[in-house]
Amino acid sequence: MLDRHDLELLRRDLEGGLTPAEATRLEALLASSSEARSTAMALRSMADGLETGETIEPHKDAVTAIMARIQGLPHPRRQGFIPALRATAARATAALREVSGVATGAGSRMEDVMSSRSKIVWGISAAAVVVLVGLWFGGVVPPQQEGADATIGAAKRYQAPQIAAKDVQLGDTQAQAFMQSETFDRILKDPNTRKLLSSAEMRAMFADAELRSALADPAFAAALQRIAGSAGLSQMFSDGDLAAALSSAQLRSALADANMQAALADDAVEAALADSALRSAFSSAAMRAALADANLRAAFGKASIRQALASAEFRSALADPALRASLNSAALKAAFSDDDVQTALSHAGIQAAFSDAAFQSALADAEMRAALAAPAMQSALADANIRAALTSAELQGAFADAALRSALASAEMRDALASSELQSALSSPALRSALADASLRSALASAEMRAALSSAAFRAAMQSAALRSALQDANFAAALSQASFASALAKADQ
Amino acid sequence: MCYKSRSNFSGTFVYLQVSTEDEDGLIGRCLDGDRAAFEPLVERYHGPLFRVAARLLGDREEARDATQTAFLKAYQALASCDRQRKFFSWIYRILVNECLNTLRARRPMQALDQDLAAPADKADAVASAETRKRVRRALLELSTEQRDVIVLRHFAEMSYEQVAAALKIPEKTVKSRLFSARQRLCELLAGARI
Repeated sequence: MLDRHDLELLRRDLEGGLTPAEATRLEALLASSSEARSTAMALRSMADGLETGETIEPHKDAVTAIMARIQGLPHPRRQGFIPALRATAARATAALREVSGVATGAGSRMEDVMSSRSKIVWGISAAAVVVLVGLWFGGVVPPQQEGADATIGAAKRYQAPQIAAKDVQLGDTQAQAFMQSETFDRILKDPNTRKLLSSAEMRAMFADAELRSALADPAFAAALQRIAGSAGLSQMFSDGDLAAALSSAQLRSALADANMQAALADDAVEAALADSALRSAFSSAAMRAALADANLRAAFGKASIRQALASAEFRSALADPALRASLNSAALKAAFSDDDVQTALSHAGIQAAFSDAAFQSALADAEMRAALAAPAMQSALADANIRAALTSAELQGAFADAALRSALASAEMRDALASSELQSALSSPALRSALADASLRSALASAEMRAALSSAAFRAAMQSAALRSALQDANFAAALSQASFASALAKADQ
Repeated sequence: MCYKSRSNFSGTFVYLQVSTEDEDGLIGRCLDGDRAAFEPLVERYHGPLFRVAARLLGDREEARDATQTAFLKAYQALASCDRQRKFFSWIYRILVNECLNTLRARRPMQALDQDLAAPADKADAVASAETRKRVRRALLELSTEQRDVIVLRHFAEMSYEQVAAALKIPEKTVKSRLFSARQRLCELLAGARI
């Protein structure tokens, strides 16, 4: 074992400058200790930069390959949405302030006058951009045509040509002509457009070419109009993280989706999005990727899910990275695509579960969420038998039972769900088939079985590894389907 | 044994002397939507970054992937780059984190240095590869500050002055961190099993 003096000697050798006596000591150390030799070799290797004697040259096409991938990325944004507006608005305001300064006589030289004219033209140019875009998506310019429908849910991209800043570099004569046009006259008389123009932030926003391109999409523009008109949603979009997320094509696409727009119109969703945890959830890359899935977006179109967002516990659950990641799983997406599951989501029993405090608390529990996100559980959700059982009238009726829901939300049940034995059992075809059996479902719907499942003794039993292992046995699974078994369980608790 | 200085990578450090103002202009143009403005930065730094990655990972292909990923992440996060500092010191941090993630995720028996191994005696090559693996493992145990100075000094072969500029710390701090990092490495390598 090397002591600290030996280590110090090795370190100083690395840096060079050993005295003759120290060099002799080092030689003796290396001769007598394999540990010292090994350590010295490692240090020398590090000092040599792990060099093997060969020159390390990068691949010849490295730069080309990197730039090719850069082309596929969205432009990096300077800041989030709203902070970028403020920064741009500050520049616009500074420019306008300069114009007013000259107008009040702060500068009287011809150059200043000419400069001020340029700035006035700039100001009008920017306003013209705003006005023209605003009128375009409002259907004023050009006049509304059949087929260019801008209603919510329209999938067709608007065909109007894009305005670029260079297109609106109006010279003085152009500015004058514009101000004398019928279009400008209509602009001044339109109260909505005047309101738009009165906001410095909005004016600065329209100077952004990429945003103008997105606004040309009627569905996206409609979503933003909805957001702008809502205090709760506006607060959401003041959040830097979520605002930056808007630069994602995935999220913009999701916002253009009819189901998502229906969700945005829901008061419960609006209130929920005032929650910083939920905003954070929607900002995450995992959530954005999940929202790219049409089936998941369809789920948000369901009143039951939207109602669930009103619950703090449910929102907290969505803020959990594990659960968000699980939303991206093929199994869960497949489950959402199933017609039966979608129908089930709107069933009174399931809705009652989502609005049940105990159930919501269960979802908020980290262990429960981890259990739901586990591959075995998700594989079970993908199984047709399991889904059939979950969507059956009997089971949904069972969910309406407060006592059962309370039992499902208990710590013992959560532990059981998280256990490897139960998760393994869920993978067994025997148990899945049993769950698909009508007689078992009837048993679950029976008051006796529910009483048994709700009993403290049963919950305690679920903690038993032996019982959970038994669930993996095909014969035991078959026995569960017997009504007499349910009756026996109920009596055992008495 | 004296520390050997190497000259084959002296050209690397011309890149590090590019003015901050020049880089600031390029970054500004990127943020304004000019993707092509990122290319000069890639051309300048991909070589030295690749060499650091290759030495850290011991695999050319993994080093290429890590370097490419570092540039892509840097591009996407360009708005958060502190333009008061050199671009290199920022992207170097991204690259090292990428390499460390790769090292941590690596299977214990995964062969290393397949492309970098010297073709001489097979037994020596195996021993050298094993030694390099030990060093990499030890590097994972260092603090970020200690690892930075070791990597830049020994892997990127920067002078004390250049390390100080890259990390924006005084030169004497570089030396003191190197001292403690080497001490710590000695302890780690001595404690590691052969």
